[in-house]
Amino acid sequence: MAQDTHPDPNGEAILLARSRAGDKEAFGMLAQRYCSFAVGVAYRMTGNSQLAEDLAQEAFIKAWRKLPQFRGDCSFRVWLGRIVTNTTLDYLRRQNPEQPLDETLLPAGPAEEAPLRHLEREEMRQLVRQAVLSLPAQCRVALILREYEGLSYREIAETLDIPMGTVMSRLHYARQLLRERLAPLLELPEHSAGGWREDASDAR
Amino acid sequence: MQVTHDELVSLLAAFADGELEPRRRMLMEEHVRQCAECARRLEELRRLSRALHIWEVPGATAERARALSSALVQMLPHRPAVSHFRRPSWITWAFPAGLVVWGALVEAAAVLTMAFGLAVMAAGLFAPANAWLSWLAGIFPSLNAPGWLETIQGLRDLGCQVLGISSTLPASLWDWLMSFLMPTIVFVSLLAVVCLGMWGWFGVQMARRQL
Repeated sequence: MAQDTHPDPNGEAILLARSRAGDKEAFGMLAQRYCSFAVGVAYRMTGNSQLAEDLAQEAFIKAWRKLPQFRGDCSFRVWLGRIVTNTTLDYLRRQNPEQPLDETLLPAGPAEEAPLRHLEREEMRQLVRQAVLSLPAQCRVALILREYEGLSYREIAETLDIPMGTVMSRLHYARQLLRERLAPLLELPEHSAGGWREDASDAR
Repeated sequence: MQVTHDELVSLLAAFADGELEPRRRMLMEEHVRQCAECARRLEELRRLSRALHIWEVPGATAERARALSSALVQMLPHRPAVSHFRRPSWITWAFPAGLVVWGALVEAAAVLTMAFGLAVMAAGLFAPANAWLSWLAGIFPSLNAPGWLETIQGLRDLGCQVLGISSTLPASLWDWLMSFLMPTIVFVSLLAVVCLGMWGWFGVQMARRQL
């Protein structure tokens, strides 16, 4: 996913100032810039794209309401990320942890022993999706912010309001679990005929 | 500075994430060139990172972002404009300031009342050999020993002198003071002190959030 690094921070400052003054159109433009970030985090946390869009909308409305309290102590992305992750985690917390949210939230399964050389790309995607969604929520959110959204350790710490050391240990744990669960996939050659690396690696 | 292999292994993830400061990054680059084990682990981390990107967000296009944000604009509730540098007029602070002053005065009155109640109760301990003293002597039998009563009476006279009240008040009045009035006063004023203290604390917190 493309990272939310904007070449015109001044443009953002103006949009922020106008939004603070109550300009809905300006806030809409801000939301458009950060849409892929907000939806991306919510989607990888829930595994459901429609739900992710709803949660992102809810987070943007909360952000609009709280905007007068935004002091600029951190970047807007960190501040918004805090609202998006809290909204998503609150949603997940409300669900019964004993039961999957819906059919898209998959429980942790054993790594498949099937002949993976014949895995289709869609199956690989499902394997990755299942592995990420099966991570504990607190580790998952740190991993998503790092791997998919490209936030630095410091930004993750500010977003989740946890110490840097905790960020590193959560990332370490998440990656350890993923290495185990994705072992069959990781053992495949990346570029060969049966391999998985086609275009995804260019996304970062 | 000599850095061990184990120390560098613990930094591998931070290295792969581009989080090391330049000096350590150079050390790590050097080490990875020489250590096959670390090179393998680093490649594993990078492979995992690349593999994760197989999972994309479906339908994440610029058009979708535009559609979502225009739908959002329609849903935004009205919010009054805020200005950074609004100078508060006297009316905005006069009322809370008045409340604070009033609260402080009531708090001081409550503290004084409580102190007075406690002082009277302390004096009551040394009151004439009335029901209160007999009750106390029942709990502490040593008070019946010769000499103690005189000591207590001496202290009572001193306490009453300090407080400016007569030690020759009737025993029934002392009983009433000790068993009902003063405890009530002390309790009520203690309650007032606690409530007003909490009120003040929350007020300060609210003010800090607003400013």
